[in-house]
Amino acid sequence: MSGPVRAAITGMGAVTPLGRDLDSSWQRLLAGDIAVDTITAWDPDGFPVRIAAEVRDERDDPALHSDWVGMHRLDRRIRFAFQAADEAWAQAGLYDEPPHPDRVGLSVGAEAGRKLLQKVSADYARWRHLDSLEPVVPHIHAQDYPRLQPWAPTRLLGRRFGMRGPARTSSTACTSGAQALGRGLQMIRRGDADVVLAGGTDALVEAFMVTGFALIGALSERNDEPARASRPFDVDRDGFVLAEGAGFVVLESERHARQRGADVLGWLAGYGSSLNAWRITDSPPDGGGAYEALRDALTDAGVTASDVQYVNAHGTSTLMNDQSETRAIQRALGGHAATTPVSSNKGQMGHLVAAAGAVEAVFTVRALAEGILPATANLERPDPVCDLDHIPIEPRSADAHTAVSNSFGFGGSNASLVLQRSEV
Amino acid sequence: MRFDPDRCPVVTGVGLLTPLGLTRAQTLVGLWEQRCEVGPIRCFDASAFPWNQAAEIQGFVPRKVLPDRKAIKLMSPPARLAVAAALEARAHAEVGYEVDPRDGGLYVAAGYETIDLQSVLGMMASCRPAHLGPEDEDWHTIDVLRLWREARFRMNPLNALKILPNMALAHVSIATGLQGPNSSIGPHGASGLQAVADAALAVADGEAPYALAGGTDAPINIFMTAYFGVEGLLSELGRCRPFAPDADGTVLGEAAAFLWIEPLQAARARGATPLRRLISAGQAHDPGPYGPPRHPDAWLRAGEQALTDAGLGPRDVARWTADGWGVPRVDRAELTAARELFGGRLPRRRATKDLMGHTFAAAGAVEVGISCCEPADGPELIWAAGVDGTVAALVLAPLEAS
Repeated sequence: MSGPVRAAITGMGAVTPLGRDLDSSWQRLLAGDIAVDTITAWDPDGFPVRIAAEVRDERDDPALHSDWVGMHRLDRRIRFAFQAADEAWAQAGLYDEPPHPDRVGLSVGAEAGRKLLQKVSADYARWRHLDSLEPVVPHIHAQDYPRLQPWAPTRLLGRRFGMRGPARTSSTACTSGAQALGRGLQMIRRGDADVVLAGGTDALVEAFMVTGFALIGALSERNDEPARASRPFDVDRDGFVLAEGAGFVVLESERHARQRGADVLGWLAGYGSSLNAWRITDSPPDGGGAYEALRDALTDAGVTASDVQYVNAHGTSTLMNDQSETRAIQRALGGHAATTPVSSNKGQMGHLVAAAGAVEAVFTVRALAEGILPATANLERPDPVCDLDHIPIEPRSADAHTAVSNSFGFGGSNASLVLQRSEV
Repeated sequence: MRFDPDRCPVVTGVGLLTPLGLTRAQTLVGLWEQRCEVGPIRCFDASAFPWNQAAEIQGFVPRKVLPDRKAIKLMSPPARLAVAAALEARAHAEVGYEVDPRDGGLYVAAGYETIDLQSVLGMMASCRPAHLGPEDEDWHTIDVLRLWREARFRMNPLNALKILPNMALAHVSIATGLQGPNSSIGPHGASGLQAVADAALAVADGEAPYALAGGTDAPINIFMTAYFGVEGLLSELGRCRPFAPDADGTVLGEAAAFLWIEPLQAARARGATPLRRLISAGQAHDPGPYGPPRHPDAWLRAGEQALTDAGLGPRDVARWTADGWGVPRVDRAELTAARELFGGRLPRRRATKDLMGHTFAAAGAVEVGISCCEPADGPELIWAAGVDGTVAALVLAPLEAS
């Protein structure tokens, strides 16, 4: 192991269905607001699933008013990433004292772009009925396809902030955001960079993905009462709710942060990742895989189960995940599992997929800093098989210093992060 | 970053599935014969494109190679190639029951779409609003009701998952049982080398007792051809000629390559044959426009970092495996950086893209795999650059050299 060297978190930013920046998202999270509603981006009439948690208020999108040319043409997930990264960069004070570009790393969790997929399919529809492709060649925009790629946000963020150090795109479905933060921690530990911009972004509320996930039976079909659809750990849960957004943090080596006198908001202390090697869609009911990630993260951070005072659960509100995650937490924390508060943010803001891990880590750091743990919305009747110390409906005050944030993904990738309060 | 010499990571198994051959041995024979596998594109009708040549894998029948036949239909082409190459690497390493698969790391760079995406897109394309034609601006909107109806009957429910970029990682993990630390890196030219470097670091740091790392990609499709062609990266003459004065672009190729990596001591303890030591890695990002870095700066920084961390001077490098895109402006940047890095006296240079095209996410791992199977007379520097602006460098050495 690399030893428990921690990375200082000196800046945080988020764009979520609850708000266009971290402060408003956090306030609405504590107020118990629920962002799940009927889909407005396209007409979902006739679909079995017609609800999602969308980022609204497009007119307030600062990206649209930015001086950065061509911003309005960018993919939705890239705009989210720019906004969240900008907020984190500004909070860290790095616009005023920019670090040496060679010493800045970038670690982004992202999936393939979806919105432009429709445009690409339009191209395809045009081309495949033509006898000759020659007439269409002059009309192909060379950058349409690269922008669909998972690495497009990485490339554009690197350009936006002029970064020249190591850059990495993690694409492990719902685990991407947490893995990106974990990779960022490793870059700091190994001395590859002094500052790392790490986070995740996604915009999946799109006809094709809703169709796909609905066919698997992973989405909640509670269309008539959207606010009650996402209910992690509740006995009546019936699937997750798709959402969109981005979360970014600025990670710094402790020495670099101290040298420039930056405010440390919290610490990223440990990271563990594992694979289920089980099935593509399911997780093992005994919590295997998730347990290993959690155990490795605690070991990596040099803390024990008794040190963990809050678990920000993946808690997707699907039957399988919540049960499997409960077992993993019980196995990893042992006797302390019954008294460690657990909550999931997905009841209020849905599942942000590739951004989920990053946004939830940001909320966790905020929760530790402010001494108040967000609640699990809609947790009216906890499922007996999910027997944990839940925080139902109302946030709970707690003087917690160490927390764990979990992310588990389709394909069996798992990641856990250990986060600590700045004074620890 | 230098890999901890006390837990020196070595390669003990290589799996290669390339246009030159379906196995490691066949690929090496193809290289020995300098057989060029670039030919007319067969998987779709590319006759109307000016860029209609590519290096496709011929004769790969997943049913014959992959253990779980039921799973094949859930795999995208890059995932199928990945599982086959990963199993070959494990077999080559002669891993037995003494190795617990639960601890092993898995680092994959994967392309994620070809025919599957096209079939899905075809379905989406058939769901255009009936009253609109290609000339209408709203042509790319979708009649969602029709999409849902089409999807319910025509779409495999797992298709939505099939095109996720991490499916190669998932299928290799299921096929090999590896459950340790992992990552799935977005598909671009440098990601294969990044995956190998990640695995070597994980092994050297003790994060994983051993790791399987590699890349897989099957980028030959109508979109990649169209967009890369328009971007000016593909050869109209249908050949990739790295560093040649008449080079005019690269050609697409498909491949998968995996490496079994473990500490030298562990390899010797279980009687495995170490093929190469992995010494150090470097990487840098070019904040320029889309496409592979056209400025020598990022190339140079990645190369310098790798050599410095390896403790090697410019004269110590016996061989330089160039990325050699075959795109003049990219090759010029690479060559300029190499001249500066090696002080004007270039080591022996090798580039394989003229034979098997640019295999993108697989490219870096393919180069490492080939190097591991060839005789070596000293340290070697491998370079790879991706369209995301990343340049990665890796230093390998034969066992006896420092």
